[in-house]
Amino acid sequence: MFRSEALLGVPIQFRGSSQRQTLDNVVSAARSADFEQLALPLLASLYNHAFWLTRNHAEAEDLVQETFSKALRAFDSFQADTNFKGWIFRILRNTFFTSRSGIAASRTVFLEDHPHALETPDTSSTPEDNLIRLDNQAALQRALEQLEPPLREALLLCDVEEVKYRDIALILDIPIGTVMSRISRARRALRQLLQLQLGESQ
Amino acid sequence: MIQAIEHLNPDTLSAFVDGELPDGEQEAIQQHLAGCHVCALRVLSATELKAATARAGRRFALPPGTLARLTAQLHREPRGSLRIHSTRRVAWASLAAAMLLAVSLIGWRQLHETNTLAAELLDQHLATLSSAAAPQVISSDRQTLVPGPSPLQLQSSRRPGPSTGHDPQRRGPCLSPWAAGCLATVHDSQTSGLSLSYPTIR
Repeated sequence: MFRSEALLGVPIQFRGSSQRQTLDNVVSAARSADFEQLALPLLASLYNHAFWLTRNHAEAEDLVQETFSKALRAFDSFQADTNFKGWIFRILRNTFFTSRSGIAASRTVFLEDHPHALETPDTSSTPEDNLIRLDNQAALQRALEQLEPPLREALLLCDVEEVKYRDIALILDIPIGTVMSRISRARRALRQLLQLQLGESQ
Repeated sequence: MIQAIEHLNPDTLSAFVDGELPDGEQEAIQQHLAGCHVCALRVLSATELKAATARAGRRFALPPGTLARLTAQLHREPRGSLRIHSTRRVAWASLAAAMLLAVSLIGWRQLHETNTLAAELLDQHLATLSSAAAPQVISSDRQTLVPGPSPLQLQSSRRPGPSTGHDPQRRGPCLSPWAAGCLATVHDSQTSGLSLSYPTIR
């Protein structure tokens, strides 16, 4: 019971609205239409994020399919006027971590969020170098690929999907302070990787 | 007047760029930026990086086929009974089932063939033992039991000469005792006219 709730994100309230509609079968069809209206515009985002997680087209497609399937079944538990994007991204992520490649990925130890973790030095004191490189899309994509997955995930949710820290914390199931430090650390790591590339190309 | 300025720490700067700081803190930082060129430059650089990350992270476009499939499934499947099974998973499941069936069949057959196989192996083993032992038994038996030609005489009569080097027992490790025994039989009967049975030797 606990597992399925966690999987579907049932107990999570995004921007919690206290009102909850009781649904009957007549309303059900309307809700189904609501779901489509909310979910379809997010297809491209979900697929992009699924690809970053799986790094594989077929798996990304499967992941989005399964996410839709689960989200539709659990849609009754979703509350109107809450953040649908955060809710469905959480389902996507939980679904990924129950898949084969997700389980494999979760075995990787990630050193962070602790005072003892290796600190990435702040290299932003020379921003001019980075401003030059930021035009280079390929270089940035390479750097993104080299980022540690937990850092990349948080950064992509923030910068690409424009999800607020509070919702990222719910999606990733981590404290908001950790979200803040992960994003900051991801950016410092990105700069470092870009500078490494700059050094290599010179 | 030179004022000691405490620059923004990376986490605060990152959260500022994301607009995630409380209103009061956000204003305080804006005031700091107005007087701190270094931090203003860092904020500019961080804003650039955020925008570039958004572009680079929006990387994997939904293939047209996938979009059509997902949309069609959303429209087609009635809510609550949506069960999406990707063809890939079905294929893997079929393959797994087929392999399981094959393994069970082989296992079942082997279980039933074990007795006959064991009997065959035992027969072969006994045959090998008896044929391999034959020449040795003759020589040793004669020494102990049979009066007549001495072992030395027997050996010289059985061997035409040292130059031939036809001793089958010395044919190297590639011959099994069983094969060596067969060769010994053939060799003895051809070269010396002796058969390996006791009465002839006697």
